[in-house]
Amino acid sequence: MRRARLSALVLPAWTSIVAVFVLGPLFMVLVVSLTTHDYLSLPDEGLSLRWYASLLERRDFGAAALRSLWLAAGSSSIALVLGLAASIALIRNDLPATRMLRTLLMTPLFVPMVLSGLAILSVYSTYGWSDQMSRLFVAHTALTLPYVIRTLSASLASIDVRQELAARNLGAGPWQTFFRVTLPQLGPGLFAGGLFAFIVSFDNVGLSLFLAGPGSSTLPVELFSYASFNSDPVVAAVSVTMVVLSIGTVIVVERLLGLEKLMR
Amino acid sequence: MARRNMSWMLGLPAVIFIGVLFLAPVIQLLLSSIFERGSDGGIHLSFALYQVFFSDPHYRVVIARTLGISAATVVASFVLAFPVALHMRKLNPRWRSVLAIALLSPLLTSVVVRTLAWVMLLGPKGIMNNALIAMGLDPVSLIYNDAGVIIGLTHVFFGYMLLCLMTSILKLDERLLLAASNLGASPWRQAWHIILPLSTPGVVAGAVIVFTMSASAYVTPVLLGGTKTKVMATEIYDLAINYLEWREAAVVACVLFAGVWVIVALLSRLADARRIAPTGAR
Repeated sequence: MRRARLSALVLPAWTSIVAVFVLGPLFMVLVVSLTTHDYLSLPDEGLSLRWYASLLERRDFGAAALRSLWLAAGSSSIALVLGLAASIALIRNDLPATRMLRTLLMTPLFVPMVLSGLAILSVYSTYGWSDQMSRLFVAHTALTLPYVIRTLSASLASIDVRQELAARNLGAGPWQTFFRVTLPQLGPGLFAGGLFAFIVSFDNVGLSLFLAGPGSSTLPVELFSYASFNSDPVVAAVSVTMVVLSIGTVIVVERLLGLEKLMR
Repeated sequence: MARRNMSWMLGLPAVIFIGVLFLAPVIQLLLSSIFERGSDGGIHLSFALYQVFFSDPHYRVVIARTLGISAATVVASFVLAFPVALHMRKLNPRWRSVLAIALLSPLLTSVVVRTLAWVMLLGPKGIMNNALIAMGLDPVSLIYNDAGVIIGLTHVFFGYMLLCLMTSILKLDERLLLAASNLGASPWRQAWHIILPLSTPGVVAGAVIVFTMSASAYVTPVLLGGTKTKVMATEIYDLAINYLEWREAAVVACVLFAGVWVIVALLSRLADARRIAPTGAR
């Protein structure tokens, strides 16, 4: 009996330790970003927003943040359009050939980013494609496409094909069927897929490190380079800003599109 | 029939996009590491760069360190996540999802942010050492060495391991455990002899994801490993960006890619073998 009680305590205790390990450091970043000191420290003499104010004076982080948002919004939109078309093709034609194509479309997930980043950088350069922003857009679209296809395939698979057949039987054209029968039911899938793609792109650093240059660096890359040479509360303030920007986008998109409405 | 042909065509833009703009460059890079332009202008098959790579003792250390760090990260994230997944079985659905969201939500924050959290905590001028010095103790160095990289990678990839373990442990048949406990098996015995063997697919899936991601991680080894703790990903980046040696970088990238997938294949074989011969024999 005593032994049973002891083991009943072990799992909750271990889970709490793991929760502290996982969440503690992130919480600490938030606390450190509010310090009044000039060095990495806990705010033992009151809280201050001076490090956030100092961010406003720095143009590099602001420009990088805007670039990141624009890149994430652009590449996830392209990925949504390409991915939606591809998911319909894959789900409605379950052939060995389409299954092979599906694997091909998933390759960006399986190739290490150091390899694909290097490949895009070096091969595009040999063909004279040196514009950094457009290379970033292509790379991020390729990276986010598998996530979109996975989510959309799942929601497409849950739609009864007979509804589309019924619509066609009743005289609706293929486009009308798509826009009035299929698309409305894909709402949650499109939302989840697009959001996932946005966050994957916004947080990406593996590909961007290879492809972004001085005039085109994204927020994670800018933070990475800054933190490689500096160790001050600015790092903490930018980190918190990054997390807030990605969570903030989720909330704004949710408000604009109305997740509840889509889920209904 | 006409409709089927049309919907098939919808896949073409994505396939062309990935095929031409993503896969073709990757394949060309892989090929560029084994072909070289000779003095006569023709293109020859040549493994000279691979010979140089494998005969360099520096690279042997780097390969061993990459594999060691990745394996240690797999073990550490399993040790952290397995008891948590076991605990989740016993929680009601509400608390289970609260815990899952709390532990998995860091996956949605950037790797850079999560790694920098550890730099702030463990760094030479970090929170932990400042506190130790303030208390009159000696500072410890858990950064700029293998240990720092393993801690950071475990934090970054722990969520994937938990996700894989959760999916296979939460759907285990409760009656098996009831039977075991009726027959007098202690909770430890149940975990070790019933839950662990039956959740092998989840364990292997988690191990594969954490291993492949750790082996090709770049940001965490740079920020927590410093300049001395070189792994293959940092070598690839250095060769490509700082020395502009794209073909040499391609060789390291190919070795990394091939090595990782050989180990993944071995792990999957291991999982299959265990499923065919269940642990009842022991």
